Amino acid sequence: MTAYIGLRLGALYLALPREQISQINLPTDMHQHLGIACVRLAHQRIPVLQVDDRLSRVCAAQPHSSANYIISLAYADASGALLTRFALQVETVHKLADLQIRPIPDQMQRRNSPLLGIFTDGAKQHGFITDVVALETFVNHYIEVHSHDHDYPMAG
Amino acid sequence: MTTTTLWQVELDFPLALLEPSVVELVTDGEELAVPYCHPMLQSLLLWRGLWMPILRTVGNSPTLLIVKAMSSHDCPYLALAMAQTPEKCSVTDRQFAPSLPLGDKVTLSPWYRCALSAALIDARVVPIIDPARCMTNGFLNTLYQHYRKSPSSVR
Repeated sequence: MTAYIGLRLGALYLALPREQISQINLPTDMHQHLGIACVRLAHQRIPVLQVDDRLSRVCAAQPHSSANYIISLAYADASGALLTRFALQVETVHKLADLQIRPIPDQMQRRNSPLLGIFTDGAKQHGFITDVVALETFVNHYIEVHSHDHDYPMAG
Repeated sequence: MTTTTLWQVELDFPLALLEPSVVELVTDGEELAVPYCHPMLQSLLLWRGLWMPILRTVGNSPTLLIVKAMSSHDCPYLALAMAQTPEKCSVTDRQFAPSLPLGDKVTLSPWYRCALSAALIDARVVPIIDPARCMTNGFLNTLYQHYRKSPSSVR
């Protein structure tokens, strides 16, 4: 059974598989490299992104935002090696238990949405299931569509 | 002469539903806004443990009519945001399925695309909509294009 971590980005409440968080940092751990906000993970610089709660804006993290934590996101590639390509600023991070998960009706879904399902936590609050692959697909799509906004290099 | 029972519903356009399509009227339902989703279905209603999409074309009305798409298995329910409380009515055979006023401005309404038939009610030709057709991507995209041109009724 997948264990989930709850994340809040403003009004957006997300649940992410616990094993996909490779590191949690504080905003004070962030530094700028070539004008991009980064954190360090195993001698790599991981770019830190900021996503708004309506999923209408993706940008490089701002140092003075309301975020309290920076989570680095990892997934295993085909060979089993762990990849961490980006980190996200979030307001809260907490463990979740006893989730009820339901699908989002197909008719509502847009391609590249990072929202994979609806969950209800033990406190009867509702949010959305996501995972690192869906988040990365969304971020990459957003950057392609809004390529005039910024350049967000992804770490390898 | 036989009669057929319909529910007259007012979204931003007068519509009708066959009686078996209508499930329940909800006025204090729990809603969950879904970011980055289809622009015509921006939130979900929790009803009896089920999440269903809300189709909203009129402001932020909290009055929702739950309708059942009898031919849809993956998402059998839809909540329609109402501008007014729905009313039951009966139509006779002679009122039922009048010929549509083709070429008339009213037939340009996207709601005719999900109509099963139509009925003459209060001297107006009202489309009788099929909830299953309301949930097709083609119809939802047409509806979005329609309201994008006249966005005042969509939140």
